[in-house]
Amino acid sequence: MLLLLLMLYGAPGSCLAAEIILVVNHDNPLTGITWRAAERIFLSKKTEWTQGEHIHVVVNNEPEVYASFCRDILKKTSLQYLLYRKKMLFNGSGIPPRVMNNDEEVKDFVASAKDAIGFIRQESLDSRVKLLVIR
Amino acid sequence: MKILNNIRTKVWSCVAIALLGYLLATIATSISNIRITDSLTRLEAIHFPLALKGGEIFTLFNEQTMHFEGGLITGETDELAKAREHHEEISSLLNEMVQMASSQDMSFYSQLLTLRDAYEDYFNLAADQYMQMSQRTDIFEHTQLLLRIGKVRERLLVKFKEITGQLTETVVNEIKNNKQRAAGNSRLLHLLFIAVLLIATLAINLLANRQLITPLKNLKELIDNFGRGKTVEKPQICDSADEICSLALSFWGMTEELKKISVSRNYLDNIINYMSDCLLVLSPTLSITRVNQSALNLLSYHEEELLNQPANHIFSEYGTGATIQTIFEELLQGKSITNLEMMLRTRDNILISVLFSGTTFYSTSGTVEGVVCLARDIRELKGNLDNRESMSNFDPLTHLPNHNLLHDRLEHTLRLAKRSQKLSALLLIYLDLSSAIIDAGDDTGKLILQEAAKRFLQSVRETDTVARMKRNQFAIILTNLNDQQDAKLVAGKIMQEFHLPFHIFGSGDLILSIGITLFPSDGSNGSTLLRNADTALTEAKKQGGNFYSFYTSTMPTTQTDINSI
Repeated sequence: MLLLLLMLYGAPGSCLAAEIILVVNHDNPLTGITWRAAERIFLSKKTEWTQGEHIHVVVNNEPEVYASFCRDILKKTSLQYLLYRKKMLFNGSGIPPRVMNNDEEVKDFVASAKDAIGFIRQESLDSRVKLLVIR
Repeated sequence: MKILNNIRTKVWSCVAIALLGYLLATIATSISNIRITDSLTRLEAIHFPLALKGGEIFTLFNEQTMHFEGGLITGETDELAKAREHHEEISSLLNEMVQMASSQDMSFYSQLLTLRDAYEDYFNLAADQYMQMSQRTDIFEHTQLLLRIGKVRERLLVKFKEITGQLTETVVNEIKNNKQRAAGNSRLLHLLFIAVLLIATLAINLLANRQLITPLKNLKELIDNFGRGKTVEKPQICDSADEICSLALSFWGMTEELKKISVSRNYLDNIINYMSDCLLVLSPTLSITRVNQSALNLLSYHEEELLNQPANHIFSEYGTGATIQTIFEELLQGKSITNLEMMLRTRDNILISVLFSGTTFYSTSGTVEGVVCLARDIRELKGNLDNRESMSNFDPLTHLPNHNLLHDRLEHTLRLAKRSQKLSALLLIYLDLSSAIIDAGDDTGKLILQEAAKRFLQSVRETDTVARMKRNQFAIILTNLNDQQDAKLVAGKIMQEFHLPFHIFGSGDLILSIGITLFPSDGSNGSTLLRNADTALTEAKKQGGNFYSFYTSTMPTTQTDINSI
């Protein structure tokens, strides 16, 4: 996994990207998630937590974070993810993610919404939200 | 079944039953085929086009969706224009489907109507919104609207899919139904064929039996019975217009006619067997081919003992003056013999007098088939004849009194002689007719006897009695004699008369002997006198002929039975 990440890091090369982490509400019993599950959640393919609650996906629209997220977690370009989201919207399937403008807004929302999941820079992590480790 | 009078109608009715069965089967096939054809026509005209159009719409809708998507995401208005073109097609197809369904299927019709309206609503909204959004940069601002359109489209798609599926399923079902119907029809037709075959067979059998076979069988029985010589009953009551029945009636009529104009063999046999005369049939070779019961009884033979025996086995030549051979040869030459007196020989070799008649009979081709012989037993008749002669008082040949009358006269004269004390005499005369005279023929003998009678009468007085006693024995009673000399005179006179020649062919001199008895001196009753006269006659005969002798008590009494004199 680490090796794979390193390889992907190497590909875009030029951009010194920020480290992206997934955060959930403290009430969420999960502590870790597979990379595949994380991808499925953000592509609206997995819409419920294991207990059955709807997953409230939050997209951090801050360009640097968004690009890193696309690249690191979804393994797509930003444009690809955008098109994907547009298609999803067009098809009307699933619940479209909420869009936040920065880490703070994400943390605020996640802290308040029990079933929410979002992504922020690693250094923005604080006690309001819980880190969801990607395994 | 009065209509079925002639054989043609009967045969045709059998054929008609078969044809009716065939017609039924054909009609059943036609009906089932029409049902299948109807169903196939509906399939061709409605269900199948509906399913095809449904599939087409589904494809077009998907393409339209792709164009919408492209237009929305890329902001390309051409894509939206293409989506609009698709809308035209989809709309027209939907309208066509609605049109089709309206004529036939209510459930599809309402579904299609709803679908069309839903689609039109969707398109108007989608085309409008997508056009507006494609010209903006951020479509995420209209998330809810887009989601709603997406959901509507999703539902529409599901519906399109559903209805297409249903339509396709209908087609498949229709095909399946038709397959089942065809299979069912086949089974039904098989059953129907078997049933028709059975019914037709039974009906034809029944009809043929009742109308043809039974009447013909009855007719055959009738003919068989007739052939066997049994009496033929009138055919059971049947319609005389019926051809077979009329044939049977005609046949019966023929037998009745035959009965009238001919007699049965049985009847003939009875006649032959019950006739009292003997009947014998001889073959042309003169062997016995048939003999009736009377003949068997008369001759004491069994039938098998006589059949195929030669005729001379039973026919005797005795007394006929000809041979059997010549008699039958004459018969075979075509002459008939009527009432010939001849003899038949019985099994015990006794000869029986019969009157014989015979005739030859011929076959239809003209050849001699045999000789029919009739023989009547005349023994009794002959006895009667003798009896009758004795019962009457005169001899039929000479017309002289016979022995009956003589006895009477003798008794009478005897009584007179006793009272008047006058002598009377009884003369018995024997005419010695040589056998040659007799053999010369009956007629010669008869003539001589008649001539003799005449001469006797010439020799005596009118008051005297001349009688014929037997064949060639005569008696004379002389009354009122003075003495024995008178009797001598008469006897001498008779002798003289008989010396005159008899001018009869074949006769020589007649020798006579005379026995004389006088009474009442020689006896007091007729029987004694006759016996005495016979004794004297025997004495005279002993003298060698042409003698007379008087009875004397010293003469040995002859044993001749008086009754026979």
